[in-house]
Amino acid sequence: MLISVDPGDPRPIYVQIVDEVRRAMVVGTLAPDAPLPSVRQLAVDLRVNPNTVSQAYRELEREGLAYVRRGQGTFVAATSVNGTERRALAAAVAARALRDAYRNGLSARELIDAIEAAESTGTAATLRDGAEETEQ
Amino acid sequence: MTASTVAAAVSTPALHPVPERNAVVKEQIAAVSIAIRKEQWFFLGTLVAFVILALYSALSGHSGQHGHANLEYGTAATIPVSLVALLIPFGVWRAGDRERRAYDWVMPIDQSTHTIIRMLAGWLWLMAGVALYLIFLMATEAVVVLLVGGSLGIDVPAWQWLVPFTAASIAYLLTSIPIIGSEHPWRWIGGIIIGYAIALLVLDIVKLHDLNRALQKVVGGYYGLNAGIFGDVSVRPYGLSEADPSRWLGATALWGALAIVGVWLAARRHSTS
Amino acid sequence: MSALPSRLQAGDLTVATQDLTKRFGDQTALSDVSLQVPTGAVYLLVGPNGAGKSTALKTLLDLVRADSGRAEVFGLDTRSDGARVRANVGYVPERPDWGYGWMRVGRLLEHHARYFPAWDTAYATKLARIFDLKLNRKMGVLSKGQARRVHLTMALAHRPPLLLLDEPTDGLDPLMRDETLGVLADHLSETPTTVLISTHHVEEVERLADHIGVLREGTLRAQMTIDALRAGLRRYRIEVPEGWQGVASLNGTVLRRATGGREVQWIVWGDERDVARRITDANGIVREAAPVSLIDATLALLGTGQTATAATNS
Repeated sequence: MLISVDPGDPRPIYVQIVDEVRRAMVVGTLAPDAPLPSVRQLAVDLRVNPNTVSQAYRELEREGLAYVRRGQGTFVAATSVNGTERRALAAAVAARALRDAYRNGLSARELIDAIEAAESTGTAATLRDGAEETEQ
Repeated sequence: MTASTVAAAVSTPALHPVPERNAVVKEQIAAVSIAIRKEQWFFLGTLVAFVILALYSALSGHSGQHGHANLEYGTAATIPVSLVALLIPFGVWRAGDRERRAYDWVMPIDQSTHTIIRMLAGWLWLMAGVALYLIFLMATEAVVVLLVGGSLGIDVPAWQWLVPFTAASIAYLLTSIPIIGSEHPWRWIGGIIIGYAIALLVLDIVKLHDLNRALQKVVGGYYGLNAGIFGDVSVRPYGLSEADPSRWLGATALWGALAIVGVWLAARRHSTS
Repeated sequence: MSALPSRLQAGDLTVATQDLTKRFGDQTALSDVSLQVPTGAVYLLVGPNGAGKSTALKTLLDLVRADSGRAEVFGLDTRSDGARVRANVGYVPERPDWGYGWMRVGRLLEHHARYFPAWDTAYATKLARIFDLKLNRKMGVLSKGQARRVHLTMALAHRPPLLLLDEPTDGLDPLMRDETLGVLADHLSETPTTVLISTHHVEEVERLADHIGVLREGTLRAQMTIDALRAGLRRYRIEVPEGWQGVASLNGTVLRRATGGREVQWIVWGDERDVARRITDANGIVREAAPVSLIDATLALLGTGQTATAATNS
């Protein structure tokens, strides 16, 4: 599993790790019951404080996305509820979009109209296809 | 936060121990040896050169009287080792400005104790050097006698064997004081020498002859610096004469005490950089 | 309005100084600095050059003695118990010419090992390999970066409970910088350690840090967890009407301001809802209240925004 974090990102690093794991699960890169890297391994790979990784894993556990098998590490939960997770992801994307819109002086209504317009003109389809290709 | 709150708030985990004193001493002896490696080789080189020179001069009939090994005051036995002793601290302390020596002070041992240990390590090597030098001296005399003939009589009173050791020690300690205690040792050394010369001159000009003579005695007097660091222990100021043990004892005790106290004080001075 | 916090909540502290003051001639290096580094924290001490960061670290080692105030490490006084403190500290100094210049790298590591009974030789060997140390070179001929790697090895190999790192990545090329951060992350995973890093390169070590202290001209302007910093600082984009007079009640907590015609950008310390309300009450429109990156936060905290005089803040 390749994840990366950006210290310049306003989200705390542990949140970024959680988001990345969630994303990998929804997209399918992480299968149910797959092992997550050890705290030490991920800390070294990302060059972050191991406590941050522990915090991320605890959060994943708390949200039911992962479980701990004593002595063996942390694993992706079999009940990776794609439904709930998809909704959580969508909510995060929407929040970011709304913030961006408001920063540019646009209302939520204007944004929703623009999204629907983009989808109907096929712009969204191109974007979606392009996105799927990069996922593979 | 008061001091007691500070103390209460801090935890004391299982801490690593400080090193054993003996281990530190042994390591400093080894380290100082590496530090003065160049000087050690140079010293050995001059000993070998000396031996060769002595043998050559003996074999080619240029030598004077042979037949007794003699440690005369202020002669071949003592002056060279004292000169070396005066310079060796610069090797021991290598680039002794305080910032560089910060490494020693970060070690898990009391800072002034560590300084003293380092100083002692250098002193031990110096004593080894003096001993080696004397052995070489005597051995060369013996070999020359063997080659050229004559008798080998060592008519040196036992105490006189100690003179090069004490003289070199005092010289070593005295130079160590400004090196250990200040950031600019040469300023101190130069300053004292120049200051002394100026004082003598001034006293002479203003015709305070008694003070002038007294000041001169500090260096050349019976228990003066010359006696202390160059082992001048003759009964009379000039020329060869009998060696006077009380002169040696007096000068050594006086300058030895001053040097030891000086080094101890210098080692206690804490860096403020 | 809340002032910038400079005291952490009481807890288990490995490093605790109290009103440390140090002057060098007429220059004040430290002025009433009360540093608090909790056990297990990775604490970034940031500030511009000459701010006093190195002096603060040196005080903990008794390399420098403060004019007034106290310093305790592991509950031990840094002056009277200096040896015991130093036996448990791994120090990487700012200056590269530290250690015996006339000694070879390998020999210096041995030398260091004899002073620290807790030395882990296998670990030292591993670090020497990762850092690509040239064991046969004399310390005096090493470059700045090479010397720093030797110092890092010396500091980490005896697994001390406290690491004092003064500009640990300075002079290192990007590859070695990255390796160093990886080594530190690995070290923290294996050994419970408290770390105090002094640096003006925040972006290099911020991933490892969870606490921050901002030192400027000898004064500790702020000290808190990075989470608290993240929570308490926001960049506000405000649409302002003509002739806007600013927000008087926010005087003192606006750390940075930029004006671009109808919009101003402020970095403000305080509760987001409270600050937003005050702005709105003053007829400003808050277009955005965005979190601030650590670098920008540090710059803001180091800035001169906090003035006592009530100048207009528009």
